[in-house]
Amino acid sequence: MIHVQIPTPLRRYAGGSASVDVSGSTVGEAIASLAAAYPEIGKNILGPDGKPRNFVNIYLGDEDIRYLMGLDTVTPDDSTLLIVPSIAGGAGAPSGKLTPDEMKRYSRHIILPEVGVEGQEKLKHGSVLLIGAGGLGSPLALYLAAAGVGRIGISDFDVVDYSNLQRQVIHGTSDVGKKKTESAKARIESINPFTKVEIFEGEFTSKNAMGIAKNFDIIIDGTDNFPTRYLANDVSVLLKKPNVYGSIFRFEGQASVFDPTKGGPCYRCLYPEPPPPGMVPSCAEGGVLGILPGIVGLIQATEAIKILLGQGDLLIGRLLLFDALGMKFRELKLRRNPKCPLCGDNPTIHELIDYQNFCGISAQADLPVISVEDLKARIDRGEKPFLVDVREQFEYDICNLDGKLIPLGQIPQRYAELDPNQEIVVHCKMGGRSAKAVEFLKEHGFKHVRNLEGGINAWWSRIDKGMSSY
Amino acid sequence: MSAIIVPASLLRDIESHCEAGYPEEVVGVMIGRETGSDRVVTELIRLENMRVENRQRRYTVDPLQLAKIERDTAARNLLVLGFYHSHPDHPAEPSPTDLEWAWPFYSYIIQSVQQRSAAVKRSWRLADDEKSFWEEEIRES
Repeated sequence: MIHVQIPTPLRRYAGGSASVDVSGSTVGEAIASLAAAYPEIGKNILGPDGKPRNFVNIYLGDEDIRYLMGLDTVTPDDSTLLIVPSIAGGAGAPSGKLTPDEMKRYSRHIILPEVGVEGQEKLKHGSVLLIGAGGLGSPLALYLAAAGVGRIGISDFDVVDYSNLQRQVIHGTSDVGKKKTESAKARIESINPFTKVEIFEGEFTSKNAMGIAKNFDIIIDGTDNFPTRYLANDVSVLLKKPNVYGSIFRFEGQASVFDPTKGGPCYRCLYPEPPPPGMVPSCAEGGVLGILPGIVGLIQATEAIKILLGQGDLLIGRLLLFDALGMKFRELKLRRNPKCPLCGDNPTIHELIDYQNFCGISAQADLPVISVEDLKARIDRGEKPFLVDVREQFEYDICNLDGKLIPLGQIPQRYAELDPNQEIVVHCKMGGRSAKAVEFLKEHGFKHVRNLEGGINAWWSRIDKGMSSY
Repeated sequence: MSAIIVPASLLRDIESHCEAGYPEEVVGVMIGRETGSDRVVTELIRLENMRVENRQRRYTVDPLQLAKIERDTAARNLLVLGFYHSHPDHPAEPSPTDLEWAWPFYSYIIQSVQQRSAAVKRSWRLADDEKSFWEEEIRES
């Protein structure tokens, strides 16, 4: 005699009994005899093929028969079979198995033993947040979508510019002037309609960051400025989500995975303090090899896929350095800093802060400035202030406002060439380097020195579209 | 219309469990008895969410744990009436996933948790055609 425990939903088909007795020397025979006596129960637990349905678990004692011999498992006399419904659910889309179309699309993944159908389904249920749809975000979005990541969030505030096209390969020439988020979404959808794209238009800030990031499995840092980079780091540590980091400059890039929940460091362990504003030029100011973000972005994409699959060795605790000119990869070991104010043993940061202020940018905002319109008006009135251009010679050769060229790096040696009592306007390409120069000059007794807001770029876009730009 | 009657203290337990688990989903079982067309919850047991990934969006109950609860409950002449689970930052409405996995008979209480705070809760039962849910009133006692 075999005792079968009937779960509550099926008891109404067994006259309300919680347990019924059947005969059979295997699980299959016992279930068949149960189904013969109670046909409705049979229909609920066996599919048309006579096998137990996926949503039903059958236990012999404490063992799932799937891990024994299935329906052929021998049932000793007086043993108990437990019929247990699978209880599962959750918010959002259906758990969804792969459809035949998806099986075909991802077949080269599926035949990899490390991925398989199960891995591909993990990618389908996975979600990543890309902070930035620029140089790093472009290859990331293209390949993560093609690989079958189910949901990609994109946060960006910028519009596509001609100068982006040399490396931001998700955007095309016809996208110039469009919002980067929308341009990227359209491209992703044409690559893989199975990927859901959520766009977050506007700046990623302390106010909206937690709300955006909490709905994603992985945060990917594709930012080009320090305030957002620290923000991305802090958000991922506070939400206990992995942060896949990458950065690029000229011919060099670096990548890592920050995940203190796995014992690794965070970005603050590596760089506790941001560099002074203007010290590290952005790609717009320092230039970048167009291919470089492709390489670094795809290292980040690889790590994101590995995290979702749960496969391979991640870059946790390792900083990968890439030098395109030397064509060399190097690796540095990183350690979690137990004194890190964010992920250390006694953290002092428990919520997001003001990152502009943290990176010294608000302080910089106090520097005296002049807009390109005001400068133009003054030049037109014939009262031209003395112009100092702190860019490099090759930049000056592309376009200039006829100012005196002293590259930022030479200011400390050459500032004596300037008259501290004269009214001076300093400019660079975007306003970052010149802010640094203005700060320096003010500290050295210059009274009437101002920074040209937005640099020569602003001059080009708002005053003189006829001049060359870069 | 039939109702699921839950003591206020147990409703608070559901809320605190769901808030504590945020941003992940949590699940628990509701035990009690049927009286006519109503059902009365007399105790809750918190269950472990067996999922290892995507816990913000999915829960899965350990079948063996549930089997033991079914057995003990039957021995005490009580019923497993259903389950509650949280929808972090989602409405208290069943998702397609909830429908895909739903069983007849059980009451499914969904507790919406918005930004860590328990918000609306609603109870759902699978319709006879198994293609939709109908809403059952939650009555606090």
